Amino acid sequence: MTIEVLDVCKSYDGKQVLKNVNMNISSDAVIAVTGARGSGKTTLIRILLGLEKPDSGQVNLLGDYKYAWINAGTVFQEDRLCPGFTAVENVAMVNAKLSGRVARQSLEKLLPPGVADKPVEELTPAQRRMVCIVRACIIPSDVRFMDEPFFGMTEEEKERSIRYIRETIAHTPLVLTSLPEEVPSFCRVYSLN
Amino acid sequence: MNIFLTILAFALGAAGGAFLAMHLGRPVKAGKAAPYGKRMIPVIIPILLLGLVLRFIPGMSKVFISVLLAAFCLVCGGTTQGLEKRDGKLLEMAFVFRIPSSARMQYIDLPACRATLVRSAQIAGIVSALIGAAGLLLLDMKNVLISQIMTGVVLTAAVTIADIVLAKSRGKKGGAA
Repeated sequence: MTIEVLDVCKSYDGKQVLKNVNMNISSDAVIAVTGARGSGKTTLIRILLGLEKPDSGQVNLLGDYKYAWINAGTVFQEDRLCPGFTAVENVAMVNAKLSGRVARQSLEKLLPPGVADKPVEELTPAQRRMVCIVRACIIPSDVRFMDEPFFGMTEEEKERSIRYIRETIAHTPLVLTSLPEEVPSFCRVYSLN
Repeated sequence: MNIFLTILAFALGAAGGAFLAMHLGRPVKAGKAAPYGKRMIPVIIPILLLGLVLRFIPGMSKVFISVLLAAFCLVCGGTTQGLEKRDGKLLEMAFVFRIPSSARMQYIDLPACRATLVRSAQIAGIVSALIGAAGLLLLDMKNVLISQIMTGVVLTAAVTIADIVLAKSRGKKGGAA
């Protein structure tokens, strides 16, 4: 499967956020979309997810693809975790076939022991980002979109998260957004500036 | 004359119940009185239905159906109010992950509407007792009036206890970690 982005433009209130964006996300792509804050990184992810429509241009799914939508494991810019529920519950909820045990095992690869069973509001911001990363990686997906997944993490936490992502979704295309100075070394850079 | 009094009593009871539910379930902000009209529609229609029920159905069925309709409308309204407060970002997340509807109900819908649902159920308990008592008075069955009032108290208490037990069980689940 290939996702083809053709001349995508998007404006908000007369301000152009995306202008003629062209991109091919093939099955082995690992792309870091970079740009300053407000450069349209999140907007591009939202358009790829089908949450927003471009003013002009197209997003096409090429190849033998059976769904009308992109089946994507996603880390949103905000955590979007259900408050009042544990990290395990938040991860297990995305797939009816996923047991709590499997979710806990995956979480414990990133989080300190015992944290996986705490309600998400008791976790640190970095730990919540890690829960989001596990949630995006644990379900079978055709592509992963991660919007500033390492935001708020220390260097050590970031390294651990990158290792987890590379081990878990080695053969799935990955598109992540990042500030220019924080791009992980394994990504091909696509700059929106 | 009896029919007129009955319709009037139910009209006042249902309107009062809905008004109370709206106030307890969703604080009204200044300049936001407009939704009141919209929210009264689900109350006015059941009142008209109640009028028809009272006109054509005999005996105790009147009381039964009246209570059923009133409780249904109140709880339904309370739940709807709660659902309006769901976090749009969580709904978007559920859409992107194609979360099953049962999981969406458990993790997003129910937490959002629980408070208003419980409040509307408590109010429905009281209103049910009032309607039942009024119906029995009209049917001249004053000897079971106390049991109707007790039913209302028990209904309201049961909803409150269920809510406390559920809140405690969730608290324990979270605290166990």
